[in-house]
Amino acid sequence: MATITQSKESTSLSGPRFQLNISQWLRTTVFSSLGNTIFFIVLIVLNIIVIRTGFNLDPVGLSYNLAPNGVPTGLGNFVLTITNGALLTSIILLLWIIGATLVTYGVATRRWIGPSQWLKDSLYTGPFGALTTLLISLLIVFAVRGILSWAVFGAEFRTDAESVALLRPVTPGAIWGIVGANKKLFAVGRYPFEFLWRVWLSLGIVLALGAASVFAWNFGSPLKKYRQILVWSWLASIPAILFILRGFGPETSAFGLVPTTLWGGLLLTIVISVIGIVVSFPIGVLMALGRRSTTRGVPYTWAWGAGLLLIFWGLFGFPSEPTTFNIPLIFRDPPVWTFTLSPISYAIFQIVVVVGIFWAVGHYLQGNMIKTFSIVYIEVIRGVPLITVLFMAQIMLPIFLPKEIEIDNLLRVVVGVILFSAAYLAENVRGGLQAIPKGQYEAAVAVGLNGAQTTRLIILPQALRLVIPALVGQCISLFKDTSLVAIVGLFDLLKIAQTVVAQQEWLGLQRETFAFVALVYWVFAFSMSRASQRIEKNLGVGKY
Amino acid sequence: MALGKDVIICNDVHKWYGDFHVLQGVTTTVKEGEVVVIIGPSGSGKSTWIRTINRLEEHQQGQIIVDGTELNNDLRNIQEIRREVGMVFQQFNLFPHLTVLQNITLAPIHVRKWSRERAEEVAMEQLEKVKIPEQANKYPGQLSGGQQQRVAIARALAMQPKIMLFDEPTSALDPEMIKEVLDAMQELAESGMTIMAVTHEMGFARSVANRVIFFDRGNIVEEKPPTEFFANPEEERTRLFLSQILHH
Repeated sequence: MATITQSKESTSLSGPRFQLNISQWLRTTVFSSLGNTIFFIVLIVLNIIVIRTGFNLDPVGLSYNLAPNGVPTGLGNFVLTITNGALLTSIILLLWIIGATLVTYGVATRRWIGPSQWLKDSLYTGPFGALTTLLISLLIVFAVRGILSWAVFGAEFRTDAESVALLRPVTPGAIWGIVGANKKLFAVGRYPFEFLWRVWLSLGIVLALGAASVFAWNFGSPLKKYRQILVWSWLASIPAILFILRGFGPETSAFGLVPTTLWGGLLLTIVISVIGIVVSFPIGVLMALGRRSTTRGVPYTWAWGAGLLLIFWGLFGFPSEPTTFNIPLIFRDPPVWTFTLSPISYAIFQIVVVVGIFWAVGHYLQGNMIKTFSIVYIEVIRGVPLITVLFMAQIMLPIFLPKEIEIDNLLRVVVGVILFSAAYLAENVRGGLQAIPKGQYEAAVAVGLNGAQTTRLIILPQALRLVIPALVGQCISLFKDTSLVAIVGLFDLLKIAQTVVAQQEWLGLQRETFAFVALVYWVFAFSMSRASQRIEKNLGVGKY
Repeated sequence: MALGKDVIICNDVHKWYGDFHVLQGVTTTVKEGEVVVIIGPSGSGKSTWIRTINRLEEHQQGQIIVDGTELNNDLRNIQEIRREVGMVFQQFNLFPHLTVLQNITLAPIHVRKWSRERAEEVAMEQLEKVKIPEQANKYPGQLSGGQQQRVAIARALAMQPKIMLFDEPTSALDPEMIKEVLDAMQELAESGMTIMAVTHEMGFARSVANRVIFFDRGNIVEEKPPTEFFANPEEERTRLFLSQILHH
């Protein structure tokens, strides 16, 4: 806070004496450059504005509970007092001045106690630091005050539509009743009430497995040997839970069929993301390995092209009639270029195209079809937005399949999500694979392991560990991206929120609804992030 | 020590890296129980040569016959030979995600199809031989360089190979750790193992080798028993090289 110059003539036995040289201090800090001076003035002006606003802030609005008929209760009065703008501003200013005094005193006497030392190092690092501290504390306190008064003190929590309808005009804050009254919709969508126990059963299975896993991974010995069984149980629980949720047989029985069109809300969001992540994982890993494959096991690639052409002719017949092509052209009148090929030249054209493609693959990629397929797949999917993939799954998939086969809408979407996620996963895993030194591979084959064993036992365990943060990042973004399935007609958490807001009795409560949905997404995403950190710690990532 | 039949036969082995002719017709044989030390300037291709013997590098011309099997593109032959040939690398190349014991038992369990108990028993025997049985449950990252290299030797030996290849096993070690690795190698040599070692340890070559090969510019320049080799080298290049390294 202050520059101290030690006086040279100090000869006192009581120790060195210090002088506070304010003009020199100002010259070396605030007025050391034009930019600093302007910045200093701006900081002061900003502080003054925020302080004035704080002093003028109205008392927070209180909900009916805290202020029935407009008269605050004892608790209401207490809340009003401590959240009063003028009072809060004064307290912050006072605390700030006390801090500044402590630091100045410490500088002047060169005697530090823990708190003042900490204050100097972190909050009052200089004139700019001190003013920024003041500004930020004011902003934080008033932001928290605003959020609390909207979400808690002024909020109405009743869920019955009648009392809410009465209280809405006089409630200054949030009407959380919309969340409470629609909790079933948010959780499972239109899943039938009589079968809800099956959702609870599924949740029970997950919680039981979760608890067992916590024990097996944290408290050591007694359950340690069941870890592998637990991992398989987790994997097996996915189809089991899907089966329980979907059911079978007539609707009257306990396990009546619940069509996936009735699934919704958080349940649907979780189902899509879990299946998407779990199924795309092996595909992505294979794709990553495929992209790095050095197999040259497909010689004579042009022969493959020729073979394919022969099969094509066998199925659809050798071209026997002249074929006419209409090639659309822009900037031409008429905008179409029409030309006719004789059967022979059409056949030659086909040969040139097909053999040419295979020759190019053989020439530039050493005939490595696995690698070619992986690269094409990954690059095509990565170049396309998820929504496009979802639309394609929705519209294109039925084209490729016989008309009799009706595919479940949810299944189509899940397939789209899996295909999409696999491409990104493959690239993440490839990053890990590239980080493994060549010596690891050499050491593995030198002791006699074959290619598959080397990959499974040596390369992948190391590569996957390296990319855990990236993989979890992808899981989180996939979880959030599931909100896009609303576009193709599924009722996930976000779509449910939109329908909830559209209800007659809750009309216009977007803020509450979307704040709640955002909180749910955040809780899940943040848990995944923390879980990833735990896994990294347990596996000792970065230890060696 | 009486030497047995020929176990490694190299006949006019050539290899190119693009235009660079790295192996220029290497021809020699190694007998069972023989300890061959290969020395030579860096970039001479000696490491590449030793790596062709278990097919970590492909040769493009000539013949390499190991233990009666010729190395060619047949994957089964290569696997079979790699089972019989152990290799120790300059950079140890231990598997960092596995413990010392797992490093050693991995190949016996998955390649030799031994039971875990038997593999662990053999692993502990090998660790006793290299004098670090107490490190069995540590991870490679927790060991010193010398200890890691001894684990690497134990890992190769646990497969009970007929031939051991050493590719500059002490070059990445701090000076005070070189001895412990050389001791382990010497013990191995005395047990009758066939050894090919690329190294710069002249003391080891002098005291342990049956034959010293001087390798330069992609070929063998001179090969002789160590006493003769160091006392009166025939070739000018050998003399030059020896004078450069022995004057330190």
